[in-house]
Amino acid sequence: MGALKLMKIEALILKRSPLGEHDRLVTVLSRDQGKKRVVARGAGKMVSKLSGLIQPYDRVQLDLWRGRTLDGIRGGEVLESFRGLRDDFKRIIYAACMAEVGEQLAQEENPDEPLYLLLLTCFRGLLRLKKMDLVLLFFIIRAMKVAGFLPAFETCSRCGAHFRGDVQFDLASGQVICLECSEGRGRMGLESASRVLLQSLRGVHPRELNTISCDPQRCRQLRETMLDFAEYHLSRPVKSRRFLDILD
Amino acid sequence: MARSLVEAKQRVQHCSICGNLTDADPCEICGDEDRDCSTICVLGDSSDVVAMEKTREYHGRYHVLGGVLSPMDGIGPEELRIGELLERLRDGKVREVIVATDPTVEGEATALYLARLLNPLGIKVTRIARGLPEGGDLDYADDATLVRALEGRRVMETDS
Ligand SMILES: [Zn+2]
Ligand SMILES: [Zn+2]
Repeated sequence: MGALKLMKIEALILKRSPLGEHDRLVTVLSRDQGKKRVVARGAGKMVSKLSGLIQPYDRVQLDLWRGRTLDGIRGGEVLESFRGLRDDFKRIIYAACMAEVGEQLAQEENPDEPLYLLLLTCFRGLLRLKKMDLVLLFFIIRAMKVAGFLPAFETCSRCGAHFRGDVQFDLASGQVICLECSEGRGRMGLESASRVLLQSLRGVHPRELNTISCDPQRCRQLRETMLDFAEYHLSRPVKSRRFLDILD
Repeated sequence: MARSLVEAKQRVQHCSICGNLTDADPCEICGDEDRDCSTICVLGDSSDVVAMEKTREYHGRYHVLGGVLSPMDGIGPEELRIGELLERLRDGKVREVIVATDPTVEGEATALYLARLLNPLGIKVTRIARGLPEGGDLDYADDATLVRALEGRRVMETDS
């Protein structure tokens, strides 16, 4: 047997689940290697040093040993604690929704730094900005954009006409279509103001996010459309979605 | 011997009042007249009841949820024995609900949810202290730690 192979990764903790009686299976989004599932041996025990290292949403540096099927956590440190996302009900739900959509869009062993940075930015945003609903909406829109599902639009993607009034959003193509061109299934109605909001959130720099104004009702409507959009492409329900209903 | 083991296993069921695992319904704790019925300690699993009983410091009643809220796994209030808890609170005798779910994000979400649900009903909701290390399991905590956590419980207020 050769020497134990070690490696270091920087990652966001997305989720933990029990593995046997004492171990935890931890899903992380790493900066350099995409989504990874790693084992934390003994992390279920009260005295475990590892349990403090795998708290959801924290940004951590992990020292991993290479395993045959799964890599294991040997140690590491918390680089940025997101404890504030674990002790407030609304933040817990919003962060869980982001983590879930992020986890589903990310692929194992497939580097996706833009998604990593987006999620990190939005976790920070949830802590720092008052408009948490806007942060969540921003995340879903940008995550779909990063994943290549949400093309840029200025005018109707079919006829090129400038938008006047309400439009339609096509779940399959992520395109925005004017009412004159609307036909077929899988389209969601989008009010004019929602289209404008979608357009601004698609392009805004995260630093400017707090300059965008939108009423909670509008935000919620567009969030529902964008979650339908995400579910369409993930081919599975976003499980944390029902918790958003508890908050509404 | 093997036969009596099978029989014992068959007799184990959930107490219809508190949800704890028991061989008699209602369980020994729910049937005990001497226990304080103005306090209910809410726990995730039956194993947590064992841990709490070992401390000999708690003399109220229990309510076992059968899990904790887990947004990412889609485990919501409907999957837990929360409706049964509300039912138990209806007669107004319970003054305090102590939420002693694990110190994990799911345990905390459960506690925060219960506070949002029960505070409007005029019931004091408390949470066992954060002396417990984050991320661990309650049933691994030693007795002294658990007693300190219980004594240091804080009132959960909801602002929204
Ligand atoms: Zn058109
Ligand atoms: Zn009982």
